[in-house]
Amino acid sequence: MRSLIAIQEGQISLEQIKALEKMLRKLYAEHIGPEKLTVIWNVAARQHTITDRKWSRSSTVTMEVPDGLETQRREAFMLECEKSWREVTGQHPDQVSVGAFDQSRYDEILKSNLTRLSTLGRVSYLGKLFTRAMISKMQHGVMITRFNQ
Amino acid sequence: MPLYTLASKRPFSEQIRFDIAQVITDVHCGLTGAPTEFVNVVFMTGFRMRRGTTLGVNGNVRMGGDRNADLYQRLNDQMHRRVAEAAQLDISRVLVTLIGIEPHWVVEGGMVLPPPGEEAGWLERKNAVHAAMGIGPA
Repeated sequence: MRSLIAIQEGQISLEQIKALEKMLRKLYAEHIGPEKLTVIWNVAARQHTITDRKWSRSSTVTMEVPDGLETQRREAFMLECEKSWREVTGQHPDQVSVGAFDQSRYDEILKSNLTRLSTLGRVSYLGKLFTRAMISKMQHGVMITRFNQ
Repeated sequence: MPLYTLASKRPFSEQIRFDIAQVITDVHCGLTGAPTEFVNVVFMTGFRMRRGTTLGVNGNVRMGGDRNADLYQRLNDQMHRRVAEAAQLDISRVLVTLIGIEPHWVVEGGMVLPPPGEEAGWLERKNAVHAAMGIGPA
């Protein structure tokens, strides 16, 4: 299962990222199941994200869950992730979005993100993503890449 | 939610990015009635786009509630036209794709998002919950 997380440059420290990832993995195992969760952090450059018409300080967490996951379980999972996230970062609730998407829809979203790229663009993007994520994993223990390449 | 991600090869200027985000917010909220605080726009750069495309706009938007296929079509059409204008691109250079997401798959403001059309009551409840927790506006 996959998790893509969007954060703002300079907003969340590496130590916080590690604590957040540990928390998400723990909650995922408790609420959803023992599936391996691949977490990729995407950092947006300053002044490249806007929320509510203003330059954003928001974080967006999306995770893939099994298709048809019961509503009560899904909601309890997301709410606990959101609360635990804010305990680590101190962000305002309006600055945190947590999504738990059915696997099939998540797949559709990721495919759609790639469809707008050329064939070479897809290969290049996935190559860069993989390389950066792996280097980051070796250096920091977490996979961090950037939206703005 | 909605989350609009915009991919391009080269970065747009800061002012154009800001203008595009305002247009996306105008179109989305104008057609759907969603509050502006729901609208997130992310600019991603350095991507080789498909042939003929300069800017690819993908929107993950809530589905259900008071929304229907006609509304999504109008949202797509207006988004396409207005974003192209704001980006100073020919409309043929802009690609818009919308994907519907169940509202209860997302938590924002510390609460599960409401179905489209039920935002006013949700915002009232959210503000009351935040006030009870001693949390002011962001």
